[in-house]
Amino acid sequence: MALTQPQPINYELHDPDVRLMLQVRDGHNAAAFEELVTRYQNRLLTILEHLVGNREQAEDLAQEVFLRVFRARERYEPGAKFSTWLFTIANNVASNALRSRSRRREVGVPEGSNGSDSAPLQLDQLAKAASSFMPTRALDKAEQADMVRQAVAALNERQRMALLLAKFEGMSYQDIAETMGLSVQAIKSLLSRARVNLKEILTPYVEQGTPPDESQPKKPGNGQATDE
Amino acid sequence: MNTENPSLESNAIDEELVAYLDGELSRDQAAKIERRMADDPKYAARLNQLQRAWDLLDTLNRTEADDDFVHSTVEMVAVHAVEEAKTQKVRIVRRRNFAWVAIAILVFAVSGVTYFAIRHRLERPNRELVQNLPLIERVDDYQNIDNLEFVKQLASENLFATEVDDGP
Repeated sequence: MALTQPQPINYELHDPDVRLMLQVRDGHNAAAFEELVTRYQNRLLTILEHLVGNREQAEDLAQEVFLRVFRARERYEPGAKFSTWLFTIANNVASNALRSRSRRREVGVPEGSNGSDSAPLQLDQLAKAASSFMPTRALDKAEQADMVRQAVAALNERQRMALLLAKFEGMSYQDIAETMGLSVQAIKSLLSRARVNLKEILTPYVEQGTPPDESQPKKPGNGQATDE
Repeated sequence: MNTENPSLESNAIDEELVAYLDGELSRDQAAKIERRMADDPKYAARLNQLQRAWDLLDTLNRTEADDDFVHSTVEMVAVHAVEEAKTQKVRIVRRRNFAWVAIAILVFAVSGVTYFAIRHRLERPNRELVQNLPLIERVDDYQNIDNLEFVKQLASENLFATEVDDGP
């Protein structure tokens, strides 16, 4: 029995956002570009804000991402889903920003008024706090959200990015690997470590607070944000 | 069970559980996990904890852009496009000027080469005549010589040195 080669995916056919981007490339179509910005602004801002921990900086970075998309329009070739390409650029932009920020911290440059006032708590500090946590009441939603935000901020940049793409974009390991320029196995490890770290920090709060009312573990894929 | 390196086994189990929760395992691999969960309460508890921590991420807000985000982004890109077009125009004009200068130099060079080639060609017969002038002046005498080698020998022995006209 002859083995058939897998057919390359025709992204132009399957992805409406790729078609919009091709209109930007071929027709210099401003309306198509505006439509892409509208479709992706919230998604991009969500990822970036949780990556860098600052709303204003996230907006600047998001605009930088769209500017890079526009600049690259003439060389654009649909070799992947549009979202994968966009978030690859976002990953690069965010990495550069975080690298600059940590360099500024190293040389003692004070953060501007729109920057984070302090470095995120380290993982071990949070884990220590969690292990000694003895609440007298259930955490309210705002406190819970704050705790989760801190836990995510304590992850290293790559774990955080992989986690956010999996959670908010519902990306598969393959798509995340493509976005971050890593192997699927590397993504598997990153996500596993990220989620174990989250578990270590959040479990004491979850067990003492009001956890989701589930007696059985969920089937795979339930409750995750999906892209389409 | 890997007793020599329990942390390695623990990492492998966590990877397996997370991949299961993310729907990244094959049907057979998922079935294996489910069988183990049924037999091993600790294993099931670990999976539950991972799932709960994952669910807590739902408390993270999804950012909504301001009303003017699209407008300001498109405006910024439009400004960039205008600057890009200006730079492009300047580049095209420079390239065009450079091309004209290159053509002019080429034409000049070709003209110069052609001029000198033609001049050289035209002057060639005259040059040959000038080079052969001593011969031409004595052509009547040379016509009477039978043996040129004998004449060359006489010349080499310098027998008639005083009678030889000074050459150019």
